[in-house]
Amino acid sequence: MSGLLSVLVCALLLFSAPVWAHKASDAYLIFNSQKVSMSVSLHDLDLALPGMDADGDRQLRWVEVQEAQSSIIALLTRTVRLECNQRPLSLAWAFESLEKRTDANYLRVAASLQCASTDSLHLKYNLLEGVDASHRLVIGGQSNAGLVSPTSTGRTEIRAGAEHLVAASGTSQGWSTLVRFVPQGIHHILGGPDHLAFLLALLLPIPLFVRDLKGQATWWPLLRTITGFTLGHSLTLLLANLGLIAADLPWVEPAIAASIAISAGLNLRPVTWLRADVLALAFGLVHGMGFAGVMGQAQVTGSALYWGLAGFNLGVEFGQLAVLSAWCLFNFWLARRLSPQLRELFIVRAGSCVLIALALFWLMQRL
Amino acid sequence: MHSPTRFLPMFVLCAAWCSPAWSVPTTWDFLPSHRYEVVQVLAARTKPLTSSASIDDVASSARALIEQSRRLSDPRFLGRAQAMLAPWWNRAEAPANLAILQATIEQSRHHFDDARKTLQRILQANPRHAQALLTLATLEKLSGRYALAIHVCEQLQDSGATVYASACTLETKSLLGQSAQAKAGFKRLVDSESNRATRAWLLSLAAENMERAGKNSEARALYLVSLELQADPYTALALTDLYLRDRQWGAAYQSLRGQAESDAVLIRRAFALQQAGEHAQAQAIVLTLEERFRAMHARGEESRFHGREFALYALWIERNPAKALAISQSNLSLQKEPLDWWVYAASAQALGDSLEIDRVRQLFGASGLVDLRVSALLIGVRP
Repeated sequence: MSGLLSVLVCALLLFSAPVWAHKASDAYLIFNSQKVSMSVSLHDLDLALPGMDADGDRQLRWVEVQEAQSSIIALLTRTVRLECNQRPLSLAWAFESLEKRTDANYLRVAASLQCASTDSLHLKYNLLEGVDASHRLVIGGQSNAGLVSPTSTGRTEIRAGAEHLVAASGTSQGWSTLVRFVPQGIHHILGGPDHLAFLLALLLPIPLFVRDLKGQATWWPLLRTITGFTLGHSLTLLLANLGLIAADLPWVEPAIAASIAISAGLNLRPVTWLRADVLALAFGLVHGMGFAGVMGQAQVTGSALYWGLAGFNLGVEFGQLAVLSAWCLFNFWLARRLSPQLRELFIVRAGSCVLIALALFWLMQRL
Repeated sequence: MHSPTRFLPMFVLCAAWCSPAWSVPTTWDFLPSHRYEVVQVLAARTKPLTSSASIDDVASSARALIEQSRRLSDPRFLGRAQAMLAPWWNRAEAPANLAILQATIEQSRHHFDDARKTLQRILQANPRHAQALLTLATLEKLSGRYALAIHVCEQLQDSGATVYASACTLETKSLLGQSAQAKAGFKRLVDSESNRATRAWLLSLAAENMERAGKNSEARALYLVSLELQADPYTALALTDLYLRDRQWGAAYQSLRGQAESDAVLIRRAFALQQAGEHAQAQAIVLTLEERFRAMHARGEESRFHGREFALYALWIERNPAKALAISQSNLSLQKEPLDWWVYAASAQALGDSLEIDRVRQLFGASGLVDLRVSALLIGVRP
């Protein structure tokens, strides 16, 4: 009879292949030059550390996670082991943040990585070994960077080897550093409202797709202005990271706010001898000093620094181009609907006034 | 005359969007605002196995995990069940009640070839194993081998699982176009069945039979009765697809209310919302789906095991029938259920390429499957 009962249960299971709300279990190990961070889902931590949900109500509270922090770090020290040139590294994991991902909430810890970019780096991974056969560790956060299954020895593989080469030669490391910093640059320009506001202040008065009276295309000054800004911030970013100029000066952040107000002000009352591209270059120098701190936090040194800077600048450029192209499309649409006079009034004048107000607000905040 | 400057924005936009940053899964950092904030709702804890656990204990614990994975639409629990079965996984000497669970896990992951091998191993040792026969029949139907499926269903009859054996045969006959016979048979089975869950399941099979015969209103009524008896994600999806085909966007959206947010559910929700003109809401769902696809890709998941969803996504959401056609065509080498044929035919029809439509018609004709939903898409444009 029990045989028939289990048939009944499984029949209903089997007649339709189930549909999934998300993927199976993953953890993420992200290398960032001198730093490594590890993200583990709270579901998996609960599985590995049954005591974490202390009251057993299956509602995991922040306080329970905080109280379990030392056992979480002990668990990761035990199960995520890195070797630099065959020498075990002792990683001092420290809590960094909780993070939301598409399938669950994760806890992220980070540690500094004492391994030169020319040294070999190997990983032994055992988290959830024998507990979840489909658990994977995604290395680098990118699909092509690497994928590891937990195993205790090199012999009993579930899917991949126990030891994985993460970084070997200096050249490929350089390229991967560059690629890693591109998203950071994009994120920085798109995530920072003040840089965007400055860009907009420069873009507002330039009418696109409308040839001026002499029949010259107007995108050329636009390109010069954007390039001026890029040259400016690339230069100070480089100088600050080489230690040739100080980046964390107290006047930088207020000066960035002021640069927005000034650029927007010039849209209202143009000063004929002041060229937009020269101004963009000058203010670019100031904004570059604002970016410099980001690279400092990433603790990039040596030859990786140049790669990182190149990637970061490329990312900033991509971000700018994305904003620029959105603006171009908007202008193209607008040019067919608004007369030049109305455009001047609503876009250039009103837009500049809003930017000035915003910039003055930031200036007050930062002074 | 187009000035080259007109293309500048498009070029720039492409350059920015093609950068590698967009393929990386996104995360959002957060810190709770107070100490007692719930940061994660966890699934019910399953009983851990002790070192003295018997084979039956292992089987019941692994089965509980598989059921949990299905109930929560959460594949994590399949990995946990697999880890529990590890000592017997792929072993010729594995007891049948553990090997059958391995086959269930493989089938759930759409690894149909692996599942078939595992089942054949069980049946070699025990040719009358009811569960193995039932699963094998499902796989044969899914692969479009209807004659083999009927043969397996008949073997099942001998092993004593009569309701399942009859339903198995009736469903295969229905797929082959004998809908009147299947209709009468399902009615008989439903009337004599007392178990609620089994009745609900039989009613959903009867509904599918009606739908294939082009009788939408009868199918809808049967789906609704089935769902009333027992909520089931698979039946809810089938009903939603019926509404979507009838262009009843509101009803389609409603019928997915309260469902676990599987990819299949989200794709249909986004499509229904788009069609109803709720573009902002639809777009939010599309972003979630794209994020999931990125995360799936990052963990090395093979997209061919998700061909049906990807084809529907390309057809409905991306509105790219050429892409949908390519995906749905290769998906047929994995599974050949009516919906797989439907998305293939619908893609060819949306593309409007008469050569492709001819090709689909030929392949579909040779498959043996009879389904008016599919043939209606192909007949309408016959030259």
